Amino acid sequence: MPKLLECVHLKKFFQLGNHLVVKALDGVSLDLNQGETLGVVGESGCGKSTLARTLIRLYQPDEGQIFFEGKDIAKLQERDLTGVRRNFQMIFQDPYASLNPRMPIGEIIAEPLDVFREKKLIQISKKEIQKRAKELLELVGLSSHFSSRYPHEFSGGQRQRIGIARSLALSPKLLICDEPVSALDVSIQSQILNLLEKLQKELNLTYLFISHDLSVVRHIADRTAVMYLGKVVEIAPSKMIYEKPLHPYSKALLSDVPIPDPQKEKKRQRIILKGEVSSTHKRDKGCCFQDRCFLKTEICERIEPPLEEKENGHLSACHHYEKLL
Amino acid sequence: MGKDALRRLLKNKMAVFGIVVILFFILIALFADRIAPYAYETIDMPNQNLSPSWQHLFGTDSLGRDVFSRVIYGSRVSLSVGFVTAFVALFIGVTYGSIAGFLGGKVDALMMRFVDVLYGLPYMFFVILLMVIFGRKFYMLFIGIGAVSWMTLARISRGLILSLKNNEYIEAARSIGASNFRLIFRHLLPNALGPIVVYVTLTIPNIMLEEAFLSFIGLGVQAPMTSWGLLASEGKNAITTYPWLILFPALVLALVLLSLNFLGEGLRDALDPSMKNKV
Repeated sequence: MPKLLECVHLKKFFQLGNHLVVKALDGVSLDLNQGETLGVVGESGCGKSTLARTLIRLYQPDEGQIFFEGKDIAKLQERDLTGVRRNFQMIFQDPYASLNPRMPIGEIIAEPLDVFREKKLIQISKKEIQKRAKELLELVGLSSHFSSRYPHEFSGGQRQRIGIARSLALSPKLLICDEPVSALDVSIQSQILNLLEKLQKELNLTYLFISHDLSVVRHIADRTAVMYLGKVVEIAPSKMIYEKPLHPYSKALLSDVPIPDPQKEKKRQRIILKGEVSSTHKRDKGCCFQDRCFLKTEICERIEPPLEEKENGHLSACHHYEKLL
Repeated sequence: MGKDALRRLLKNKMAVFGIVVILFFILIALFADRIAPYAYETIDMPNQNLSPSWQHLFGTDSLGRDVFSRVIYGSRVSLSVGFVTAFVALFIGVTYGSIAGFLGGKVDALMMRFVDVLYGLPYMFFVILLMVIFGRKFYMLFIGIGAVSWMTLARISRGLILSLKNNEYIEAARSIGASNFRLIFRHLLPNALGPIVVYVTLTIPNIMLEEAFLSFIGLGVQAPMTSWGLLASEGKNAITTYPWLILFPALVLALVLLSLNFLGEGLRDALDPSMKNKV
């Protein structure tokens, strides 16, 4: 499969005050194949959302490259970027904050088209834009009569559908879903996930799906990447990660997921990690996970384990992965 | 303002009352020379300090001038100073404040420190300086008062923009490459409008009183021309002996203030689509 997006050694630091630097992304390398879904999991503050925002250039990366269809977009100026932006769109986490409360939803959905029309990047009349907005509403399962209503008249799930419709307006190839269902009720979550799967099939979309909910990612993702403190520590086809994690952090995360089978659930052993995530106290030397790891030895303090292929298609950054086998 | 908002505004009885009263006074100002029974400047010494009667509805002042006519003519100065200055302040303040809030960082710090410095300058000094340099012209009032009133509006709109600009819908618009102009005027300002509109309607009466003060110390309109604020401030000297001299101009000012408040609140609600069915 051809690669749609690839980022190499991506870094994004945030300066807090004079001496404090938060390394939100510390050398992330990923690739996304055409038509697949890559899940990204990790606890709060590990850099998932920063990754999403940097990949679509809402943030300027400090180092590294982002190749979209082979073209490096990491250092493009905003002016040159606009034309590329139509290819990747984002679905946001909070359906209450991601829609402008003073705009009717028809206008919200049509805004990407309107922006591109103003910049003369697409040829489309205002009437066609309205028509397209109505089509998009129906595509995501809402009635086209709603287009003159305002966001506050809709429920969370409906609003998320509106957000999805907006992200589809320019017929993008890649959708970055930043925790699109974490703000929704469980029953609505599955509706939205099914909608995303349906759209992927119909429109041949590629997803980068960010979540902290491991079962959601397992359900939707072909491959899964596990992030810890701004680094990808493990990446593999979802099935492999969930059945046989090769990184102690993934192993601990997965041990925390309840199993919907009472017999197996009884036998489930949780791995409780010591300490907590603190990016500010991160050491410069050695493995980023050493403070909390239950497999830590002397080598972990000295040498940072590289993210390497340990088994077929299964990459992990750990010196002692064999102990997990 | 959309059709929708207009419909909501007209459904609000208080707002309609405000609009009617303000329109009424604007008409009076426009046709002052037809409506007023006497000339505003004619001195009539034998008839000084008469109490209200059918001859002189609001009585006469210490020079025998008809207060009713003077209130009618005074509306010209008061309304034009109030509205024009408020809109000038609105335009400058909101533009300045939104740019500062939107750009943030060093630009914001620099722009707002400049406002702080202006706040600190004695404003009388500034107005006197203007008058000395450019002469005592009527439109200097707009500039003088406007130069002071925009600063609070700039601070208010900066604060509002600052709190709104990190919303996800701004990120969403950015992610499709929306221009800064679009972000400010299509996304941020419509959401910041409520408090701004209310503040502006509260500023207008303030400006009218400011004008009275400037006129009183001789920097505003010149006698015999007058304004509501000036009439009231002259009247206060005789409040115990001839109370109608302050009563009527003050009543008119209060009525306009009340109407502006009603209109302001009505506008705030009308511009907020989530208030659709609550009026």
